[in-house]
Amino acid sequence: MTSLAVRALERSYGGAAGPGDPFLLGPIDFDVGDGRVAALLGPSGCGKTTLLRRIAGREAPDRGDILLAGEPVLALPPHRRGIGLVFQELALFPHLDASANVDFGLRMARWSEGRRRERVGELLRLFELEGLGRRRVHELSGGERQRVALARAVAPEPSVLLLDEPLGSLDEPLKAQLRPELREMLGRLGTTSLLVSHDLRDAVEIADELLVMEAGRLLQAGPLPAVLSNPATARVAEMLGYATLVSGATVVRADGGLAIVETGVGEVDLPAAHRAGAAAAARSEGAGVALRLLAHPASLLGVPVDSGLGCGVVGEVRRVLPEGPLSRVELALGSPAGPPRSVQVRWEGGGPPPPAGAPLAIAVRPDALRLFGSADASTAPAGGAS
Amino acid sequence: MRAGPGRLAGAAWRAGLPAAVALAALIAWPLASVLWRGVAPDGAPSWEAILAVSGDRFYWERLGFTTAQALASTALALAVGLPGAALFALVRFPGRRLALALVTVPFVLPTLVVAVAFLQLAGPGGWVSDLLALAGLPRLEPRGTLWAILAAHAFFNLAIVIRLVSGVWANLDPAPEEAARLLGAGPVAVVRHVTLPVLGPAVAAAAALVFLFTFTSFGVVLVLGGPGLDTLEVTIFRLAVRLVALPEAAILSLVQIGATLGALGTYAWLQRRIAAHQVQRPDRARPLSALSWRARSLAAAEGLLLALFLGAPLAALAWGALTVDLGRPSLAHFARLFEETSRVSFIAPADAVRWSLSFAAAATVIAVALGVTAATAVARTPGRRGVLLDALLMLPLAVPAVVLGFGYLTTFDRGWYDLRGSAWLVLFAHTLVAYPFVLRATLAVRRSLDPRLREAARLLGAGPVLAWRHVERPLMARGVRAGSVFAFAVSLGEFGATSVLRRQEFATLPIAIFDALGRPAGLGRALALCTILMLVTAASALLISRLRYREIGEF
Repeated sequence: MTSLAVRALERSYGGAAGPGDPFLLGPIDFDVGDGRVAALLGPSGCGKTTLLRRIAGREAPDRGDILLAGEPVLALPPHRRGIGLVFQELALFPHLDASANVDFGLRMARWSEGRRRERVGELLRLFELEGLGRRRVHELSGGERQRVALARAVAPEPSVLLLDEPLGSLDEPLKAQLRPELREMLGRLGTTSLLVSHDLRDAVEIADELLVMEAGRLLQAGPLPAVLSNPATARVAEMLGYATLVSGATVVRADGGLAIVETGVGEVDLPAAHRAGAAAAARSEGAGVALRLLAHPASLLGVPVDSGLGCGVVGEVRRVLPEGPLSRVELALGSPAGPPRSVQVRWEGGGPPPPAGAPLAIAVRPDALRLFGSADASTAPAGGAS
Repeated sequence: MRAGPGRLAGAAWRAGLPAAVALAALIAWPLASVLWRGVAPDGAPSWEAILAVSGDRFYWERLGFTTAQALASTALALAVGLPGAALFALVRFPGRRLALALVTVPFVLPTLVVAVAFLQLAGPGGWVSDLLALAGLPRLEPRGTLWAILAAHAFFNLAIVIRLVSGVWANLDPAPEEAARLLGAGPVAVVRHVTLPVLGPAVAAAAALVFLFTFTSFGVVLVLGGPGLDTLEVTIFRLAVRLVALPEAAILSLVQIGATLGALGTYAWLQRRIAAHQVQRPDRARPLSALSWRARSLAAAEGLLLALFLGAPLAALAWGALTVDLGRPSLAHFARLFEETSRVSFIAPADAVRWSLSFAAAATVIAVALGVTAATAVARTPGRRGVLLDALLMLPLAVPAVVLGFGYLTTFDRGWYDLRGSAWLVLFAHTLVAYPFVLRATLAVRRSLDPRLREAARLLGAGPVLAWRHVERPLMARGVRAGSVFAFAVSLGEFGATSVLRRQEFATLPIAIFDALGRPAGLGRALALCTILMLVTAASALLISRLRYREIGEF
């Protein structure tokens, strides 16, 4: 069942475009299933906060529709939509204590005294805030504040919970600590949630679904593992952390097979598994088709050039980043004349990693490679299996 | 190695030493002297005087009335000022900065001018009476009524409420309000449950300041008051100057100093709480065109109310000065200023203007030197000692001006420092009354400076003097400018101390106004003089329009 559906939502230029709201939005279409946690990922200024504001009713869209539990809500004022919102910097009421913050929405909805006390107590327990109810906002730690904001948003039992960069203003160690905590809390709540973030780690650790947005458009949407493993375009792949191994044109090998060649970088055989889209075009046309081959650094291994294990791309070691007993190695790719490009690979060889300046080959399983037409608007590969 | 803070404090005291010496000579000594004379008339403290005063119902009534009228004035200023603060904080309308500057004008107007303006507006020949007469109602006599005092007090303290509250409001984080809206609070509930509670410290700070200024009100009460309507300050004036009842005056002064210190302390404490809630954000005001029709008409209504409340008395004043016989334009009132030259107590208007400007200019120069030194010393003194030093240096604001003037007369009265009848005493008094404004304005800017700037300059090789000259001084300049404008205006309007120290040869404009009011049919001349003083003050107040809230500092 779909809890939140956005249909052909658009916003045009003109009117009172405020800061952070500079451009055309949409048309955008997506669904979030009942009880699922979706993450809306995109760089700053891509329109994700604008989209959230439209859903929350803080601004009206120009066209399109928003459905909550199947009901169109655009005509409703924000607080009648059944939406809870966790603000970017939490926006807790500084003059109230933790329980009064949680209680606020219930008070406004005129719940009875008894039910309010019961609900606030229940939420404080659920969010592990027992004993902190009388604390003022500034007396709480970052994580506690986070949980109060969450409890306040869900207190009036909204059907959808929106979270606007909920970890945005925190420092990295605290973020790392709060991500699993937030995941755990959202799981316990079971409320359909939409989280906006520019940090891939937030999405990966918290969400079930992933929506990737850029420049006012939705690039891809789907279950998190599917999107992460099969980005729809080279741009989405890059946003998800993929690196370009080869960006070049196809050549026909002596044995009749196809390879992609980039001068100064190397040449890689066109993986047999790739049959659809850009790969299909290359197979039918043969030589001279522009293609890009991307792979996620987690699937790349650095191997000696003479080992024969490499995929055909050789880079020059730029620096070595020790990681526990192993290392990550940053390789510079490309001829010295071209624009600089780098890729990180794991080093799992027996000895120490090669020193800076040394050549290193990259090994990768063919099914971990992702192939796109160089025009970016290419199709997904035929799948990772085989 | 010596500890940093200790060395800092040492430097602070060295910088503050000249200011401390000057203040000790100009305030501590005369104040102690006059209080000691009062409490110990025969050289030893006498409980009789204290018991006599504390047993007298009359003085309790004066204290009660002073407090009650100050509370009522504060309530009135808040009632008119808070919607005004909302208007300036939330709506971006054409001419907003000019309007904010105009709202500030009454605050720097001399209290006497305000009193005379209300006298003219609501008096038997004023516009309000004309309106009432049209409706068949009797004409008013504002003199001797409480509501005239309250209206005048609200009039010149409106700027405090509007500037202080709207300054904080405009910088308030709007996100909690949006959160409240989303949680189902209507517009009224948002204001009630979120905006006002968060704005509370700023409103309370403004209230404390208005209370302070109305509690010590002198000029307004002297002109508009009457039997049973004397504030403590006026009572002290009557006791000390008219009746020469020193012990009573001294004891009442102590009571008043205690009360004003209380109000000042409350204000300082609240100021620190405001800072805790404030998020520095871009102006949250929205253009008029983005408002609903209802909000627009509310804004327009409040704007009209403010314009009427602030404009009518001043317009009535100018109208009264420039017309005779119910509205015939004439410069007769101005011409009469130059008559009666043969009178012994004649005050030539040109001389009054010259003395007023001279005192104001000299007092401002000294006040700036004193205020900047004091602000530097306070800012460099860490922790509780800094707070204490700040409170000590603000003392002149708490001392009744009348008592200050009287202290001068009884202190600088012998040997080489016999300055009785000298214009120097007036200058000293003006300096002292004006300098707290420089201190506050400078300190506010000084505190907002990043202390690392100075450290960076020092590390780059600048000595303490060079660091001050090239880094702190240029950055503090705006605060100093705002403070000096206030100091100039305050000196122009100073009446309490000057009325005690007055001499015919160096009478200032406020003295000339009060003198004219006390003569038969003198209202016309007073109006003419007030118009001159208003113009002189407005010219300096216009400078303030170039400065923003933060630069005006905490006033």
